[in-house]
Amino acid sequence: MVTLAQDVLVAAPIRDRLHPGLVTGGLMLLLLVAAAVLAPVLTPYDAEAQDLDIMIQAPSLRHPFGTDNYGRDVLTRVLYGAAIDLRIGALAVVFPFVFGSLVGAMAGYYGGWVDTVVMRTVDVITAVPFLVLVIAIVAFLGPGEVNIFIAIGAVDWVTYSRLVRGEVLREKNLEYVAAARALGFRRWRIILGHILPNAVPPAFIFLASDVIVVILTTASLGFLGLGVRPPAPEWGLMISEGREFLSSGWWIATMPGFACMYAGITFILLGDGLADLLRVRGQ
Amino acid sequence: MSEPTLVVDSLRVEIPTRRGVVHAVRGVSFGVESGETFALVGESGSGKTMTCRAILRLLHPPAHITGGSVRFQGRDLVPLPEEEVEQIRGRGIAMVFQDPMTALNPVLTVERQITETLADGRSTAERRTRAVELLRQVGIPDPERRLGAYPHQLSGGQRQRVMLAIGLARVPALLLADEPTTALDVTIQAQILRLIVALQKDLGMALILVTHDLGIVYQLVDRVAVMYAGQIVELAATADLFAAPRHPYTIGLIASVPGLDRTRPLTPIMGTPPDLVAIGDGCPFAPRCAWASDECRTGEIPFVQVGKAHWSRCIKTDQLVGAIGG
Repeated sequence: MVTLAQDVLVAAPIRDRLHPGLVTGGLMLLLLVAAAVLAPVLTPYDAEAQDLDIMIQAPSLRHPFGTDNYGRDVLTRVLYGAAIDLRIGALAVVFPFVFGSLVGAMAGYYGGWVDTVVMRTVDVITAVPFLVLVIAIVAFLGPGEVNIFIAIGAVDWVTYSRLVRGEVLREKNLEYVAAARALGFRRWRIILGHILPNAVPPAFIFLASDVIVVILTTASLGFLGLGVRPPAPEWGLMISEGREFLSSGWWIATMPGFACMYAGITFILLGDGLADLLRVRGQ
Repeated sequence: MSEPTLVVDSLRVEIPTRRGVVHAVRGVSFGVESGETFALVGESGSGKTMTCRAILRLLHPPAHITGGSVRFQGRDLVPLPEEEVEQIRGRGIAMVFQDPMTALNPVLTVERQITETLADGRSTAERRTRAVELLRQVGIPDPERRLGAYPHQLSGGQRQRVMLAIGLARVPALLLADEPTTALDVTIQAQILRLIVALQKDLGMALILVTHDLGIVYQLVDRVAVMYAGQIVELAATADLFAAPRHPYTIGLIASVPGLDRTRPLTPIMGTPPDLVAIGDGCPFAPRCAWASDECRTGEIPFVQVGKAHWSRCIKTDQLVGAIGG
């Protein structure tokens, strides 16, 4: 995967890599990661310890995001939550990306019954709305981070398969593939070493925006009580818990909402920047 | 006396389509000796590329070989399992493709594309040295620096040179060059072809050059097969073919080459090639042929010997003597 990323990225001339959206997104991601990693240093409060003396206090200098119904500092919880949501977002997309790309490449390259089996499976999974299916699987398996990974892994790979299959269908008829075959390379070597580096960029771009889809899915699961268990400061869970207090303490749900939004903008900028960059290279 | 490096015998390629079966190659036979430069000449759709690809078993499905044999170094490739053909590709027979823009992988460096073909067991440094040596052989200036380049950073001519370097990497016994310069600037076409032929002679390989550039054939090639409608219609040593062509199609081809003096008007071949789905009996060139008569339109036209190592698929070869050249 590392060499693949190198092939894909290094081929672009340096000046194109300084894409404004990509740079902004990159800086925002850096900030987000820093917030997640440095949370214990950045804030003097504990994310889970309750202090009922200071329940539902409006944002102030001492508590910039206010406090929630258990007297916990909302800023602290948002910062600690970044670690949870980023971790889930980053880890949950790895399997779908790798598995989906490989399966899609196989379907596209071999065609025939392999393609039929893979794509009909993809159709079946796509026929059910993403979130509904994930919720159904998590509801069946029970809440928790591992089960979120399993549910997302089982559903999310189909998009990558679709993207990569389409690219492979186009790429496999190009001369360089025939040239690679003329050199006696074996099929898996042609698929992995020659076609995939050309076919994977769209999936790679989708990966960036997919992270936010997964984070929002995790948040939705948290909201439904199917995600990470309380009192963990997961953003979706915080929004869910803060919902009851919208009239008395709007900040409890709104602040983690803003955090979700921030993460969303970050990954959209990154994905968009990558797309532009790879389009430039492709021309 | 051993058999030539490559012997193609009665090769047939068919492509099933919705309109019917396209008979792309209809019983092609020829042989190529090591060190020999052999050309397949003909217009688009005459089956030269199909023949070339069939030799390496690289036909795009649904095109497939339906008959005949391709004996390379005494072994018939047609019935071999794919894994054994893979062993021959690149090592025994290499191929240089038409369009170096698309035949090189756009996201891999020159170095990676060359070294990947080199047999395993060599160290990275050895492979690198060999890659530099190959690039130097094909006339790439400053090869050490060029190793890190991506195809889009090279000119068309350089790309074709890199393709050639990749093809030569394992010193094959036979090199197939499928219109290797069609995609290039006219000014460098001759350069590249001369390079290919020079390297072929140096390395003692057999070369099959697919082309429609008769000027190049005349200057560089030992023996020529002229293809029309999926058949070889004339096969001869280059000098004989140009001095005394014995098939009306060859005569038409030679007459349609522009000369430098510009005084002689171009003589095109009228009409279009036949539909290879509905192809029937008789000479496929008859509808366009000035010499054609009723007897040309029925029955199988035999491939007759008309001179020393000179064959023509025409029943009126006697009438053609002195029709052109001389």
